[in-house]
Amino acid sequence: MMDVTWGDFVTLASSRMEYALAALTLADAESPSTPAQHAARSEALADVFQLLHRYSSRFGPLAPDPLGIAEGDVARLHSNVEILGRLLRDEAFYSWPEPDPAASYLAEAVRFLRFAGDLLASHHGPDGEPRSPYAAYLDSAGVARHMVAQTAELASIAARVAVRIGQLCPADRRVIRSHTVAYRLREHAVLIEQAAIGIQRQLHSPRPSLPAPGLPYLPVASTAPPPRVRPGESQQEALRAVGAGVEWIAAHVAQQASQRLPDATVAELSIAADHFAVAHLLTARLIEHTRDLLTPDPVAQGILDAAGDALRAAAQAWQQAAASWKSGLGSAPAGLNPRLVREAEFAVVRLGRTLFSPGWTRRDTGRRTPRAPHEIIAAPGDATHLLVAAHSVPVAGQILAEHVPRIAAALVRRGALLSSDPAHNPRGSTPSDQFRDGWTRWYPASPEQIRHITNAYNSARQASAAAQTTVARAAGAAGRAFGRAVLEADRRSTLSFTGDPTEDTRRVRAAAARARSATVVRRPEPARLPAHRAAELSREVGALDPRRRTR
Amino acid sequence: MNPNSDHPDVEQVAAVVLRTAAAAAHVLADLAVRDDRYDQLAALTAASYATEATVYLPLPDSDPEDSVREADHTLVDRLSDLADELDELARHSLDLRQVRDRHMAALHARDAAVALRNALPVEQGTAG
Repeated sequence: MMDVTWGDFVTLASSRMEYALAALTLADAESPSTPAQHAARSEALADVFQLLHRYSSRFGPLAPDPLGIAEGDVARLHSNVEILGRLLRDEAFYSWPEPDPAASYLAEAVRFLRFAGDLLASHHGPDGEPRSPYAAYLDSAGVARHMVAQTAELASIAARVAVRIGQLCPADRRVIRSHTVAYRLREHAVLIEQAAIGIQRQLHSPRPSLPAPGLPYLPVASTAPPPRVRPGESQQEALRAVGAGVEWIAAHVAQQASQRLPDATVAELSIAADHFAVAHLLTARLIEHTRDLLTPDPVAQGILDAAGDALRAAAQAWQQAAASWKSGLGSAPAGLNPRLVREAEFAVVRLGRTLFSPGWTRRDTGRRTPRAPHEIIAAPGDATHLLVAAHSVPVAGQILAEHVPRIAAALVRRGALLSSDPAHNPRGSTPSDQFRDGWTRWYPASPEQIRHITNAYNSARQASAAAQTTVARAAGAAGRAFGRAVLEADRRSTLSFTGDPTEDTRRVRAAAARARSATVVRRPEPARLPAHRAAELSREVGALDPRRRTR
Repeated sequence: MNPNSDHPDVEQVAAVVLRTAAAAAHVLADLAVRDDRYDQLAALTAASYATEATVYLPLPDSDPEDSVREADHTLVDRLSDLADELDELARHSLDLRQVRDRHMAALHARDAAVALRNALPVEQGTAG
C-alpha cells in the first residue's frame, strides 16, 4: 500500500470545498443564511485562506524564476488570498458560529490542508535545517512552481465559495453592510481567479514569460538577515551581526510600508518598539561603560557622555512609542510573523551578551554586573566595531519610526487594525454589542485613533536621529571616525508624515526603492573597453540594428 | 469560548491581564528612567513578553481596566497563576493547535511575570 502524499490531502481538501460550494449553490438565494451559519462558514473559510496564504508566502518567492510564473500573478494571488482571509475573519466575529453542512465540509477541508501542511513541514527542522533528503527538493523552483499552481487552484475554488457566502450574507438592520460584504468578497475573488488563470496559462505554455515588476509586493526584504544567534559567537561577529540585523529590519519595514496591506500586527510592532528601546538602552550603557577605554581625552569623553545621554533619551522615546499601542487596539488573529520581532530580539541579545556575559539571555535582568571594560575592548579593532554597532541601532530606529505610522495608516485604511473602543464604532454602539460587563466587539479602528501613535513614533524618530548624529560625532572625537558608507544614513531625509496620502505614498515608495537598491548586492561593472574598441563595437551594433538598416 | 458558561474563560482572563501587565510594565519603565530602584531593561522585557503572550490568545471580550495600574507583586502572582491555569487548559485541549497556543501563551506569561518581578525594586521584592 502506498503512503498518503501531500497531493492526496490536497485533492481531498479541494473535493470538500467543491461539496461546500455545491451545498451553498443549492441554497436558495432568496433566503439568506442565518447569522450563525454565516459566521461558521466564514470562520472555516478564513482558516482555509490562512493556510493557503502560508503556502503562497512559503513558495511564492521561490517560484518566479525566468522560466516560471510571472511575479505579478504570484503577488496578486498572495495579497488577495491574505485580504480575503482577513475579510472573512472579520465576518466570523459577526455572530456565534453554528456549523451547518457547508461549514463542516469547509472545516474538513481545513483539516486536510493542515495535514498536508504538516507533511511538508516535516522535511525541515524548527530552525529550517533539512531533516530529510527531500528538503532541498522542496526548496527548488520547480517544486515551488507546482505548489503555487496548486495553491492557485485551491484558492480559486475557495474564492468561489467566498463569493457565494457573500451572496448569502444575512440581511439585517445593517442591510447596506451585506451588499458591501458581497461586493468586497467578489472583488478579491475575481482577482484571485485572474491570477490563477494566469498561473495555469504560464505553466502550460512553452513560451517563457518575462518576470513582471511585482517584486516589491512580495513581503520579503531583498537583503538577507544575518545568521541566528549561536552560543560561541565571537564579540566582533556579534557586533557586526547587530548592524546587519537592524539594517535588515529597516529594509523590511520600508518594504512593508510600500505594501497595500502590510503584513504586520499590533503585537509585532509594539514588541519591535520594546526591543528597540532595549537596544538603545544597551548601546548607551555600552558606550558609558567603555568610555575610559575609548578615549583618554576628557573633552572627547564629554562628547561620548552626550552620546550616551542621547541614546538613553531615544530609549525613553521608544518605550513611549511601544506604550502608544494602547490595549484598546488589536489586529485580527493572524499568528505572529516572527521575522521582524526575531531580528530585533537577536540584536538585543547580542548587545546584551557584549555588555554582560556571553551567556546572557533576555530572561536575565539588567541588574547584573557588566563585564570589565578591558574585556569588552580587548583587541584594537573592537572599539570601532562597538561604535559602528552603536551607530547602526539609532539609524535603523529612525527608519523604523519613520515607517510604522505609515504601516498603521495602511492597516486602518484596510480595516485590519481593530479597536474595542465603542466611542469609535462607525456604526454607533448598540446595546446588543454589550456582552457581560464590557464591550464585545472589535471594530475597524478610525484614523484619529492612531494619531497619538504617529506622534509617539515621530518623537522616537527625532530622538533616534539625534542619537545617531551624536554617536557619529562621538566616534569622530574618539579618533575612530566612520567611513562614508556608515555616515550615508546621516543624510537621509526623514521628513515626518504630511498626512497627505499621495505625497506620503510617493515618499515611502522612493524610500523602499532606496532601501532595495542599497541592500541588493550589485555585481561590479566590467572594466571599460578601450575607446577605439568601443567605437568599433557601437558601429557593429548599429549595423545590426534593423531600424537603422532600413534607413 | 462559550459566552454563556458560568465559569470564567481562562484565555479571556489571561488576555485582559496580559494587556494590563504590558501597560503596567511600560509605566514601570518610565519610572525607571528617573528612579534607579526599578530596572528599565527588565520592565521593557516584561512588556514584550506580555505582548508576545497575547498573540497566542483571542482578542479579549472585555476591556482591561481603564486606569493604568501600578505593577506590583499581586500582578506578578496573578500572571504566574494564569500561566499555570493556561498550562492546565492546554493539557486538557484536544486540538493540537490549541495545545500549542495555550502552552506558548503560558510560557510567555511566565517569562513576563519573572521579568516584571525583576523590574520591581529589590526591597519590595523581599517584602512581598
